[in-house]
Amino acid sequence: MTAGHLRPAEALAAVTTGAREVLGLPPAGPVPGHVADLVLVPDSGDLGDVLAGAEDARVVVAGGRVLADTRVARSLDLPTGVDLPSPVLTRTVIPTAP
Amino acid sequence: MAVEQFSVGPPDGVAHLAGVALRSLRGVRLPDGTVADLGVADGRVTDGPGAGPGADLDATGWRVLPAAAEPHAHLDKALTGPRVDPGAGNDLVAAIAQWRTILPSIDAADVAARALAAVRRYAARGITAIRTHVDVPLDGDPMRGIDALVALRERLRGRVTLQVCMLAGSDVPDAVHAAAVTRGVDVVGGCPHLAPDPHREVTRALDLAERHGLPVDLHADEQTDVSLPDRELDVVELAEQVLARGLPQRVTASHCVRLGSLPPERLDPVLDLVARAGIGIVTLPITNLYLQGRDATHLAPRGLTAVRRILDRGILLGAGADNLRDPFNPAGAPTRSRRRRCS
Repeated sequence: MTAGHLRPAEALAAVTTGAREVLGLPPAGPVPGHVADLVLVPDSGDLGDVLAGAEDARVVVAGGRVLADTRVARSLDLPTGVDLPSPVLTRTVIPTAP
Repeated sequence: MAVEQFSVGPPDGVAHLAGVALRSLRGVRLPDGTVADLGVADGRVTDGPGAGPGADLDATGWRVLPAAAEPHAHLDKALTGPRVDPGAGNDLVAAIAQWRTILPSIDAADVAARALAAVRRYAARGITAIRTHVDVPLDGDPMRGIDALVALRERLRGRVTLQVCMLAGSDVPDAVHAAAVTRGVDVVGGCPHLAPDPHREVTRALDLAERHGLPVDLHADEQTDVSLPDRELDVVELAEQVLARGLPQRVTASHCVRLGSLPPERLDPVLDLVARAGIGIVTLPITNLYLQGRDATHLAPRGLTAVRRILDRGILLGAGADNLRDPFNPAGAPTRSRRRRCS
């Protein structure tokens, strides 16, 4: 929905509070008094990371009971951080025509 | 008896929590960025630590959000993608034709099995409530889809909220149309946008809804062409009838793609009417990106309704994914994130 030119919070609302209201359901979410239909995602980035689907692991709660628990194990042949032995940057020399 | 203590653990750990009833979530990050404890009692979130039955769940390192709802699915069609040519490049009319070629071979058990497999995907992605439209087929038992999904709704009660919306085409006889609503459906649907006489189709859906006191959710204006007069828009017809009848129940117009094609001077009066009628709109971007705009050689229309102006006008907006691997979107997925990112 963000690609439909809604702001991130509006996009989140359209698939959560807006969708539930269309269905005539009481509001759900981590707010006292609301239905305990919740999603837990890894707290590794900001809300934008959640919207961008950066994390696949999630625990889904419906009516206060865990409905689904999904974990993702991943193996990557890439470093987790950039830790070069020395910050030597080489300049690419573009050969000029003779 | 000692209260059970669980910890969510790492994102790449073993999935072990399904079925655990909670009385609290500890150390979880809230949408406002703070870390707090939440209580749970009788299916609702409470202030402060939970004291009733259920387990305490340490959610340190996890962020909590509201679960999503899917306001518009077709569980009777879900996962039939492998039975059709996914490269056919269907527009709406071609998708319906393709669906109708496989429909005669589909029975209630088939509907139930695919619908449950689809619900499992939705649930795993974080969707805890689903409204499904369901066809009333012309071939064979017209009630088999409704009966299968009403039974599934009851089977899943307490875990996933399922709403069943009857979707009878304009070629379904009045007697069958009227009988379908008595099979335990939650919502009256319809597709005036495909009917030779949209006025008649809206009328018979609202007559039925009025008689049974049920909410309404019509497929509306699922086209991009707006060469027709505004009074012939499905959503205008629907809004005028809702106002004329003083219909108190919730009324929803799904798709409303044509609104995205209207210039502001035509759109604004239409949205005023929709707002006065209290109609909510459901946008289904992924399916409409797939189905619409196929006759354009370039600069194809996006197939989106006018989401910005709908929100700015204060009209209720829900967003969904619509089709999950069926002739209307062979690559459809129930993912919250894709629905947000891709439109």
